[in-house]
Amino acid sequence: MENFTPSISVSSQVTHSLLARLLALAYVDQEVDLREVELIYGIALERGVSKETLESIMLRPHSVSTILPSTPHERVSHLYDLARLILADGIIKEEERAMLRRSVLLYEFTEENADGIVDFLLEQAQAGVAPAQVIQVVQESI
Amino acid sequence: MALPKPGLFTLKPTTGPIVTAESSASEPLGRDASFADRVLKKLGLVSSAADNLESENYADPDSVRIQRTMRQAGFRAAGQHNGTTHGLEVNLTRILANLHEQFDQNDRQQETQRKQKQGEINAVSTEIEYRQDERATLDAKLDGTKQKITDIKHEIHLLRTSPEDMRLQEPSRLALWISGIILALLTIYLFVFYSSAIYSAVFKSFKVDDNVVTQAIFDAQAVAKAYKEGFFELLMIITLPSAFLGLGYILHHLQKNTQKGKALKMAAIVSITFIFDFILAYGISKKIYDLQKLASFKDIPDYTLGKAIMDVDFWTIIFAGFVVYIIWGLLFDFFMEAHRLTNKVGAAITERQNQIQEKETECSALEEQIGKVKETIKNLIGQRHQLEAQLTGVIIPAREWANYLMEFCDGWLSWMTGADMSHYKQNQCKTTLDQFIERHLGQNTVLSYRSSEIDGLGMQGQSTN
Repeated sequence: MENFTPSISVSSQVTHSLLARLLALAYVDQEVDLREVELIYGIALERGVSKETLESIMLRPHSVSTILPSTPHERVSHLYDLARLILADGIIKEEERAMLRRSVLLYEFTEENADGIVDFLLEQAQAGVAPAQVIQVVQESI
Repeated sequence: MALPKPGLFTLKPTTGPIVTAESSASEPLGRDASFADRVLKKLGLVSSAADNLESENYADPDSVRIQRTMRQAGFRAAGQHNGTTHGLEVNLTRILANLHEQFDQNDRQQETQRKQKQGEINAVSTEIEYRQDERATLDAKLDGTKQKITDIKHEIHLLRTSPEDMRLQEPSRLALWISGIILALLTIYLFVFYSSAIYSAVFKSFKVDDNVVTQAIFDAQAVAKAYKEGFFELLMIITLPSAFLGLGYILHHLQKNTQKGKALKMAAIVSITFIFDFILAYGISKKIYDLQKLASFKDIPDYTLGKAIMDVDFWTIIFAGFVVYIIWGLLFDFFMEAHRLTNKVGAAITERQNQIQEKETECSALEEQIGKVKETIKNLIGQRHQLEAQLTGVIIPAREWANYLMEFCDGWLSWMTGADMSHYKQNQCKTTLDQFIERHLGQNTVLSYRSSEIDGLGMQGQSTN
């Protein structure tokens, strides 16, 4: 019989997927800012992912396939984390905005709302609003 | 805080399984999808989300994940084909073809690498050509030198056998001997003459008997008397003639010289010698004259130059000394010439042998150089082969793929067990797998064929049964 390490839970997989996406966003402008990396570590900590796991994901981000969270508000929290990462260095670059928009579409929001969502999230991130608050607001609006 | 528009965050209605990142091809999340995912998708082995979620673990390497999925796929496929060997082979072929295809797609990305390698190969090829040219030149030089050696050896042979062909006069050996003997005798004469003359001119006190010139000059007892009078006197009279001989020798060499001041130098030396001799002669004849003057009762005038010229004794001494000296010089020249001529043949041979030595050293130096260039060429060719091998050899991870196929078969067999199929049938399937692997993935792991060589059901490739 084959022996394999016990599979991790779906929620962990979802979180891993987010982290991989955050890493990809950090690399999208070809430079890695220290603040961006620190933020990723912070987000990993917030979501209960250990440093070692994060680092193993960093080593092989290709091996992580994308799994979406089931609930919309969870998805929004993912997207807001992406927005926070964009604002980590204080500048919104075109590539970063484009990637966020793509992610919004991937997360199955409608095409016509995509830009609006991007703008909203970036605004909130710029203002430094806490994730929990953003999620609350969004939930109320749905 | 700004509020979002109502309905901004409504989700798109979605169907189908939870998505992977297939739709966004330009996503930088791991070159749109991992190799593993692409293979699995292509093979249609990703059939349900449940499979993915159950069996995946993100810390796994791709291969383990594929293996597990292969196993499941095998199980499922067996059910579809009822465990027949034919069905197994079809599936195995399909899987292998897909693996090759995925591999080739990756392969295309290596095009630039390939081009670079080709560039390197071309550079090495040019280098090889250059070195081969160099080697050809060296070879030609070597041949030339060897040819020269042969020619020289031939010349030597001619010299030995027939010198006339070489346009060398065969000198008369007789002439050599005669001139040699006379020269020796003359040398002795000069020695004797000059030593006596010096003694007479300088040291001797003339007595009455000595008014005959021969006695005046050639005092047979010159050496004995000089020795009695003092060792250094003896030394002087014996060594002084060497001065004349030295002058004569210098004259000979000056003659051979082709410098511009040659005539002048020669004239200078000759005149110096003459003056020396003149002084000696004058001195001796004066002494004789004085003796006569003393012995005579008349009053005769003093010896003058004019008288000297008229004096026969004077001229005798001049001729006996200086002229003989000239004769000696000429004879010496002749002797040296004859000697040189005799040796000309020998000298020529020696010279040629020296040349041969030189050429042979040249040859060995050239050969060494050629050896070095050959070595370089060999290394470069080896280098080129290596690069070419890297270029043409596509290393297919055959062992890894064989593992996948075996996992597939495992799943297949487990279905058969579950379906209570006989051991015989299961063994047949196992054999099919083994043959397939051996045929397509071979004994070696380094293969260089492309997926186009797998021909569907035709099963080409080495058959080693």
